[in-house]
Amino acid sequence: MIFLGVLGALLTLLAAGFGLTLLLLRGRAQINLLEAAALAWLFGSGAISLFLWGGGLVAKGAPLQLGITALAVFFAAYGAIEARRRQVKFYFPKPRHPIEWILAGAIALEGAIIFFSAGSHGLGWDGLLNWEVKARYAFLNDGVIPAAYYHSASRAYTHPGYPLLIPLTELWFYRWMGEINQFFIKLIFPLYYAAGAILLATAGTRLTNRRWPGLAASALLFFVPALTSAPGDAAGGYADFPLGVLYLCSFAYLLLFSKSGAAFDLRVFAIATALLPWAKREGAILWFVAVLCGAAILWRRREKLPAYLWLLPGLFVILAWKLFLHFMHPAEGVEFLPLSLATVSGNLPRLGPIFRMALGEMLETTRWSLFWPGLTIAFLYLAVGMRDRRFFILAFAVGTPLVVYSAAYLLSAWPDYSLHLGASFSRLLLHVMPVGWLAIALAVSGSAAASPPPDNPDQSQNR
Amino acid sequence: MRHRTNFLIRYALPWAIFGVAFVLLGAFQIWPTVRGSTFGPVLPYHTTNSYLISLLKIRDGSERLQRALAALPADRPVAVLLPKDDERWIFVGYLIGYFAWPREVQIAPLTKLNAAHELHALDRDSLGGIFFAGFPPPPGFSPALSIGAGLTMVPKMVNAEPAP
Repeated sequence: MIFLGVLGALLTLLAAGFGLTLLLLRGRAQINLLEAAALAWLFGSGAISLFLWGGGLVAKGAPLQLGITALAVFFAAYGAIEARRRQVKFYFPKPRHPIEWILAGAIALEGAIIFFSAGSHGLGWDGLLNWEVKARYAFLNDGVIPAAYYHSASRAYTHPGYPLLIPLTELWFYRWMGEINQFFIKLIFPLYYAAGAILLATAGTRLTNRRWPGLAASALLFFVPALTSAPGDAAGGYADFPLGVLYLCSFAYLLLFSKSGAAFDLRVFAIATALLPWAKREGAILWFVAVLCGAAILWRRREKLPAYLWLLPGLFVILAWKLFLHFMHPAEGVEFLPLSLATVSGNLPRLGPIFRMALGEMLETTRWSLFWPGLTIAFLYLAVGMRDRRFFILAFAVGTPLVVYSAAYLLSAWPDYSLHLGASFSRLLLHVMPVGWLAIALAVSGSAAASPPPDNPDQSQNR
Repeated sequence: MRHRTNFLIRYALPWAIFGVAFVLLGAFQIWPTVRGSTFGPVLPYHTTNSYLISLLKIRDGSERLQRALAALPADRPVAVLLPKDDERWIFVGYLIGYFAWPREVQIAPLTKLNAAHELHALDRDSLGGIFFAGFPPPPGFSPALSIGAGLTMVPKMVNAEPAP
């Protein structure tokens, strides 16, 4: 019975996501099934969690679940009808050379290990007490997070003000399973890993016009220990890696848009960017960075004003969530002091130690292997060796959050800010790490732009 | 030919070296974790039970906590008294909070200096139960139900209810 529940939750979520993906990709003549499946997972979990939150303001229990299931089916049907009407061709990108077979096989094996790992270890501390706990309380309250939870001072340690992408996706599974199940809920985190690996491979392919750089970056992703064998890893139930995958999706499609000028790439960028602040608070910073880069590319491409409207959906998410919290008055522990000139100037002596500790974390091979030195070399290749203008976008995408995150510890309210940094900084690095792999894929490809596209990714990029 | 050699020296070779070193370093970290993993158990309280095995030395900690809490009135808060700055017991306190919904959970960190005062200050009539985490209940707090190693619950006795 519980398997049927998992299947029902998964299928309805993917149906909603697939329908949305097909609508967003309207205008694309050929659609890579793997890419569509990865986007379907990201957008499906985003849509279902937003529906649960919005719908939960007016309904609960079976009517809420049935209503959202009907919406999911509607999106799937509408997307399918649109795709049929436009005679979209779906294709599965089969490997064609031994290298591609080896890399694709490695990616599949790594995904299987992440699934195995998810079934072996429990949720991490934050995975349980910041995220899953909200799904639990909502399940016990007939599908809606109880209003009393938000201002319960004794639950401030669960951060009631955190956004709800992960908890409400978990809730969707609990509703379908008919019970709270800490084992099966871990299934959703390897799916974020799979989506990230697929998007890295497909975006890497489309951006470099070669398959192997994207496949290689995707295969190497697994070997970052922070992602596979550290607290807060991809299977630990934390929101950090899902946020990183959304950020990867956002920048991958922004770069694709800058290359193709296709509206469907801009739309996927817009929706992935809009979901950033819904995954974690820091997502608002990432959203701002992505919007700045999006605006710069729209401006450089001399796009008209309506195109800029695609930068706004994330703002609606941020404002709606802020408004909701304004009425809920969530109880929160104090992690950071309010931003003021006096606080910043008073804590300026922290700057040197923060820089040293942040650098030390990035050079910690037990958590990052050689990822950060490799990324630095990749940026040098892109900037100096290849004079690739995408360097500016990718360096801004990776560098700005790192600077902002590090600077935030100037405002740390912990008695020892170095403990605060040690406890959280490595997980914050996961937000930008997948985008870093995209930069490595571009750098590794060398002079790849001269080669023809490998699997005919949409030459008919009509608007 | 020259272009090919140039490509090999500038791109293929450095990145191949980086790739091999990266994989080897990562694999040395990841392999012990993967090798030491066992799948399951497929249980609803997979996570909390695995924490409580190490925290309270019991295998069915979640079920025990659930049963203990089910015996308490749902509309009254519970108190958790635990040693201040002790990560282990703070986490146990949080897990009690996890299971205790919809009850409010008042976590009171105790030190040798404030223990007597905090115990005296407890409004026992308003509480549904008191958990003593990391130390046994002092005399006068009974009946004491042991949940696991170092964790005891003192439920509010029905006959201790104030007369209507």
